[in-house]
Amino acid sequence: MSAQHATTVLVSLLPLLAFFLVSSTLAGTPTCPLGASSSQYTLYLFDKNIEVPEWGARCLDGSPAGFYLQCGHGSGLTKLVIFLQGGGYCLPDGIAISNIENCSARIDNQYGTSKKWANTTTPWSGITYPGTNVNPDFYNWNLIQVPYCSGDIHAGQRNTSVNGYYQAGHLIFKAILAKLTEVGILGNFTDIILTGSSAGGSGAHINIDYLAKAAPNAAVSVFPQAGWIVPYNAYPDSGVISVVNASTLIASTIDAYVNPACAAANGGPCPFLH
Amino acid sequence: MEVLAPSYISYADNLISFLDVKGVPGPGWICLAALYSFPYWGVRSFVAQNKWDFDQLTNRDGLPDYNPNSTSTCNFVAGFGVAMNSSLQEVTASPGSETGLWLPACLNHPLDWNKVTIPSSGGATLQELFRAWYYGRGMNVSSIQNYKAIDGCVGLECNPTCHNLLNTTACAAFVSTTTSSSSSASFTTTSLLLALLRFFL
Repeated sequence: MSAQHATTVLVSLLPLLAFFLVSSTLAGTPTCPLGASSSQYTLYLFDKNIEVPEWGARCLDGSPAGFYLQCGHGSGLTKLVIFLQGGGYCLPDGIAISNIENCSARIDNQYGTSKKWANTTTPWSGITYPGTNVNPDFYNWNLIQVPYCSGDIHAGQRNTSVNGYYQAGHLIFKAILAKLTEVGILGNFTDIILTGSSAGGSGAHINIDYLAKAAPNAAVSVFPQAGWIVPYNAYPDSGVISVVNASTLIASTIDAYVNPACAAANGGPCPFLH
Repeated sequence: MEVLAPSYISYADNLISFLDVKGVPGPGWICLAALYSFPYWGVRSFVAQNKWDFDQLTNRDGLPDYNPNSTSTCNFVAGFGVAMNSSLQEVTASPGSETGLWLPACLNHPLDWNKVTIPSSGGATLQELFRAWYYGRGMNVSSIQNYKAIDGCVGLECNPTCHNLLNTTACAAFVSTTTSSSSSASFTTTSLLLALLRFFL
């Protein structure tokens, strides 16, 4: 084969080489991390020996917290919805208020321990439904559903137990963002929506400023559903403390994270607030 | 709002004792409530809420059972609706480009994504309004001012697309005569703290 012929062959193969180069580059783009897939919600549990002690991401019973991830595709590859599950709140044994559930009631179910979580799960809300029929606008985004196992409206910062229970919802949220950073995807997101329902709706607005700081390059939005708590008197003679009056007790017990700017504007952070 | 039930007193001692151990906190804890933290969220926001949140009415605020023939039940429920509207004043006043609002006149806790509509706001579902607010596209939103879909009908569960889990007919008439008054509930940090002071004292 002459040198001229070889050159001709090489030139003719250039488009093919380019195709393979592009293909291999695309194949090298961030794939679905943490053993998840784009076809179902898959559980990632924090490592009990490393991540749990380092980040404090525990359920009420001390078992590792975690999250369900379904990866995005197409135009949703760089976009993320995080949904925080709801389910009321609780107080540890020994701190009894009549209308606030005791955490012991949750210790053997999915709201208190990850031991009851399945490896995969179904969509928990419209905006985390991965189908165009229900969710035509966000179906192909990266979708994260955070199981609620801390009984603390996702605000607690307890790295040690109180009367046997950990209430570390905010630490769990921080750990999720730390994990997304560790696998190299948090900084790639262009759009992030933080949402949730009920206690998860409250958790969404409580944690939103932290998320916005952790993902400064993304367009971050918050979508609290059924999490707007109204200051209202308890029903006469019902013997309950209404939710706002109970909040001071809850905030103390769980060592609550609150929006720092809000706390500063309301007389400064409390001794137990960070 | 600040009229406290006598039954609160029996709980005050426990609460104060606990706080003595922890150190009496400042008022920063109120930021757990969206009403107070809303001005500091710092991102675009869309609030979705049923006007008569059944979980708050029962599990949090102690409505023992829903008896539509009870005047006190209807009174309590009606007042809650007034309180909800009042607490959302800052959200309502916020520019639509920054803040959307979905407030159906339903007696329920979880929000419905794509069945409940708000006729007075162009017949939008939550899914449709959220899309319009987020992307600025989708349904014709010209009838929805500032992306605020607030049920304009009068009366408890007056929106026919609500799930109507409970018999609301008897209460409906009562609520329709009381929700028009908005002077009974206006929430500020000061009013809440005054209520707490009275609570502790």
